[in-house]
Amino acid sequence: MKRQLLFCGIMLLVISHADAQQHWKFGVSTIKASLFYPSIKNFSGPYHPGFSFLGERLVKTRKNSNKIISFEGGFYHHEYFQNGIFLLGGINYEYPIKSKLKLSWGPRLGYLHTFSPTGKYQHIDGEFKQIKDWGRPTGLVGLALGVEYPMINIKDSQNSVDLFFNYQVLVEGPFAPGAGVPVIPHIFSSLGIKVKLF
Amino acid sequence: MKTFLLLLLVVSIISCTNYEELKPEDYTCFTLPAIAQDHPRADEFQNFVNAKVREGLPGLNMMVRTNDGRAWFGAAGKADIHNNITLSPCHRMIIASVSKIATAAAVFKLVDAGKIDINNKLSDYLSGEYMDKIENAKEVTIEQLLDHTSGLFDYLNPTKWELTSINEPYKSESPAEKLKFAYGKSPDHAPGETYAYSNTNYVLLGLLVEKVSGQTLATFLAEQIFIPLGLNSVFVGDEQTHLRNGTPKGYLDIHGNETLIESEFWYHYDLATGDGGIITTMYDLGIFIEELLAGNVISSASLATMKDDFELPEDWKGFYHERNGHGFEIYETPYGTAYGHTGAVYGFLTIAWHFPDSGVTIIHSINGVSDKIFDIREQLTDDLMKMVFEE
Repeated sequence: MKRQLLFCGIMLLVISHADAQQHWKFGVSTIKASLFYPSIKNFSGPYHPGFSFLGERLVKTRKNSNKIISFEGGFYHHEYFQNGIFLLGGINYEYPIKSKLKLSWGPRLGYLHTFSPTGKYQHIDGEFKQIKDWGRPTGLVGLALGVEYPMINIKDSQNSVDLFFNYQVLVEGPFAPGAGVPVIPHIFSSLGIKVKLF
Repeated sequence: MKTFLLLLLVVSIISCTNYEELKPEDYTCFTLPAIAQDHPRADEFQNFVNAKVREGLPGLNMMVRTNDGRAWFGAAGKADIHNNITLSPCHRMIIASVSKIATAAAVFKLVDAGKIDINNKLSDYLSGEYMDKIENAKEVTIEQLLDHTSGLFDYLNPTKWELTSINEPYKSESPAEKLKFAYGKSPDHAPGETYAYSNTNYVLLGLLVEKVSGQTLATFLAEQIFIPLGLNSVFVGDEQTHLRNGTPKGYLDIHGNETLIESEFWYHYDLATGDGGIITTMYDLGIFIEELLAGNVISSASLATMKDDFELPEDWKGFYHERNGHGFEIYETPYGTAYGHTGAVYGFLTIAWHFPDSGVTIIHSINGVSDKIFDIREQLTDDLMKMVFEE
């Protein structure tokens, strides 16, 4: 319960901060989830699919960088091991470079609710029985690296449809502290599009 | 919009389940001799197995030979909880490290054939990247691999191995691929200095058998040991065969809260190398260990070397495991010395003990792993010994 309250508090702070500004962008992405530390295997390994919806709000513009508040919610399916619904909030520091390309990085904090794809079983009345899987609440913390490129310029406006790639290194915890595995790593490699809606 | 997103998530979760809808005939069942029901204590043993499952095991498969020479085998619980399939003694269980006895026996078969001298260095027989990159691999002798005094780093220890096996479910790994997890890691100790259990030792011994015999470990074991003993259920995993097919499901308490999940995606990695690649019925496993200890598999000189033991360092002792041989673990129980091994993967726990002095054999395998199941396993073994020896 404390964990949920902490998460809600952080999200409220982020949202209220974002509301004071302008420039919303919304996007959608496909995710390749990997339960591993950062490695080339994040790309070459098996495809654990997912998707996410994200919103971004520009909060500060400097000469060479932008500060952006970011929210993301989505789902991934890690075959046999875990289905996860996640909500992530964070700040992006965005650096426009030549050819309209933008690089970004920023911290992430969030909530992950996981389900077992093969069911859960408990010893009840002398035998193991399948039980309803209501999921398991955990936290996520990590770092996002991103690259963004305006793919299509929208006519008669300064808006564009932007192609982006995000590489998020996240740690899920608590995982199984009693079994000596307090946290486990996740990598979300996302490819998607963003568009400025208003 | 909110409703749409919520629906999308719910549909995603529901559609991304991986329940296999299986029937009893999907689980391979081997013909067993019709002797179990004839044992005068058959009902007593079956009640014991039933009671232990009721205490908190998914499934329990057991074989016992009492000191009158009569064998009993039986099972209780589930081979597959989701599909409500009952575990049977005709089902094969994953015996994990108990397989090391067979790998050691294969090495001694080649010793008997004059093709291996256990005092020689491993590097006299094997070469390759793993010999260069596993620290001390070129220095250790075959004997040090057999009795776990090589000090070689255990490839199963790194977190990287565990993450890889979760992240790449059902990817086959060759022995050489597995050994990569030990590359560049510091050895536990200098060769021969002391004891430290390491799965790397038996992966290398499996490769040694393959190199010297010119056959795969699976083929060598089948042709030289299991087929001559008439053990038709014993199967040694290889890179091409997923042992999950037809094998009862293993369950693991992954979060440490006594709630189990199906865990075969995690233990398949253990199943194609000399450190733990065998599945078998409990009856066939019992026959193998009894025949081996009776001197019917390898020469008496080789058997004496396999049994030749030393006292374990204090920090390695546990649950009657006081001494170690060359392929056998040696258990000093209140009822005498037992030779055998224990086996554990993320889904199965097995104990296989034979007491040569009394002729008693105790074999059992559980298709679940949790703290509570570990405790039940130890109590089960104590209770079973008491039952068998104090009738």
